[in-house]
Amino acid sequence: MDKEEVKKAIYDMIEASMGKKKLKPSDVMKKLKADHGVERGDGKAALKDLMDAGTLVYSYKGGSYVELPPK
Amino acid sequence: MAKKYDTPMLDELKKGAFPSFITEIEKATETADYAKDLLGLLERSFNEKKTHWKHGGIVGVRGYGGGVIGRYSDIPDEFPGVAHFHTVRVNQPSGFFYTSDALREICDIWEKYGSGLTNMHGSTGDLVLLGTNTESLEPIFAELSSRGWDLGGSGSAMRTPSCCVGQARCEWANIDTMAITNEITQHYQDEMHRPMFPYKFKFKVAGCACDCIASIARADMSIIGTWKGDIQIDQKEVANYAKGGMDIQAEIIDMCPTQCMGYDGKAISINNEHCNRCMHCIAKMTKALKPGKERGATILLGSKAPIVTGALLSWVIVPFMKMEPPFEELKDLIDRIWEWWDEHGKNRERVGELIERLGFPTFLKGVDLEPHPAMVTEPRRDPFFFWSEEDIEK
Ligand code: HEM
Ligand code: HEM
Ligand code: SF4
Ligand code: SF4
Repeated sequence: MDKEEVKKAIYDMIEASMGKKKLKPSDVMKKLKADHGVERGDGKAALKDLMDAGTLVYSYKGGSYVELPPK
Repeated sequence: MAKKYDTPMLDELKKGAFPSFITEIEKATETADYAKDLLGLLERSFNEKKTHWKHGGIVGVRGYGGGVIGRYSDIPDEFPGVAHFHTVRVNQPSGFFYTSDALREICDIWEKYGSGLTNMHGSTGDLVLLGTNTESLEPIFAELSSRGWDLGGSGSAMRTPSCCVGQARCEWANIDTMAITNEITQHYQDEMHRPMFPYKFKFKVAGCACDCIASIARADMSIIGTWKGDIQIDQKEVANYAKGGMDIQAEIIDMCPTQCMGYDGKAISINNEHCNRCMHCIAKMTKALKPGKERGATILLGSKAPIVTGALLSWVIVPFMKMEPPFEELKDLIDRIWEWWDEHGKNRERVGELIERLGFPTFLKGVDLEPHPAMVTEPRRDPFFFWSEEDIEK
């Protein structure tokens, strides 16, 4: 998968998680690896892009999670 | 200055000889409105014996997963000045050294966008700016970063590393604590700003076992300066201490925790094989005793405050490691530990708790470390015996 595809996979994963069980960054990495065989380093780089663009945001509730930005 | 609220409870805290945080907060009402409502809210909490803060939500600025701790009042209609009262963590310089200009710069930014209140420093190490609203966060960050400052860590991330003043101010420092702290901070920027771990991870670097930064109790990884080889003794200076009135037998020899020292009225001898490098004798007789010539650090892991399970102190995982830039051996170890913790840790499980759950041998295998007799969880003790006041001979 190229980086844009990884970014899309992450975005879809987070979108599907909204309103359900929140995902931690490490959940995202584990799922990327399991579902798409994406290595951790590539997953982190893609997540970094999404965060820097403000497409996704971090949240905190006893631990750190990844979410869509509040509307 | 007219008070916005009547605060008889808080006024009690202004009495007495010691500095009062109430007096300081009252001063801050001159520069911004936050402090007035902060006092009102606190008085209310004291009366009701109930907190009126809630947390959550905001965690940082764009791209960052930490550095801002969201705080809100749960009665914002009554205290609009503290409807938002977020904390901003600013990464402190290693060893907490500032020029007065740097402090003014920070304070000016903070008076412009925030409450003007700070508690330098938080126990995390960061320079902690207390109280601002959500809209001000990006402007504060823009001003800070344009002047070379950056936010610190929060959430499930590497927290801002901190250290004692080390070689900058202290003759006992066995390692360059400031260089190590700076290197960890710079090298692991992503791990600090982009939370990826099961939970928080803290580094604290102390130059010697006196541990002025309390790393053994407050850091997941405690890096503490130590030495190899014999303690260097200057017997002439030993004689000077004796001449100066020091009771060497009582104050030094008898207080050596491993009882490895001797004194014949003239000279000190040390059985170095039994010395545990506690620093007691060196700290007491600095002119006469110096650490051995080969310097490095002991790496310890696992301390934390009680949350789910009880408090832990860090325990030794590497008895001695050379500490020279660029600290590759250390970074390599850190990477291995993080990888193992990430793989096995449950949500909100600190690395020390994970080791307790899976066992120390599993950890050693997982991060490829050899067992060593120095790896004890704690000194032997009997937890069922307590001395009462009467038992103690004073
Ligand atoms: C008179 C008989 C015994 C004496 C004097 C004795 C003495 C000791 C001592 C001094 C230790 C502590 C070692 C240390 O950690 O410093 C120890 C550990 C231990 N003993 Fe015994 N023991 C005796 C009988 C037994 C028996 C019969 C069993 C089991 C059926 C047993 C099971 C253990 C175990 C499991 C430990 C290790 C505890 C640990 O994990 O630290 N002992 N014993
Ligand atoms: C199946 C039977 C037994 C089991 C599973 C067992 C297990 C243990 C364990 C796990 C400890 C470790 C305590 C620690 O964390 O330090 C311990 C300590 C000890 N056990 Fe046993 N034990 C057994 C039978 C016995 C018997 C029959 C004796 C004495 C005749 C004995 C004497 C001791 C002693 C003296 C200690 C304390 C050692 C110390 O000072 O650390 N145990 N035992
Ligand atoms: S921990 Fe040791 S080296 Fe650091 S300031 Fe304290 S006494 Fe000095
Ligand atoms: S450093 Fe501590 S253990 Fe070592 S000789 Fe001095 S007092 Fe004893």
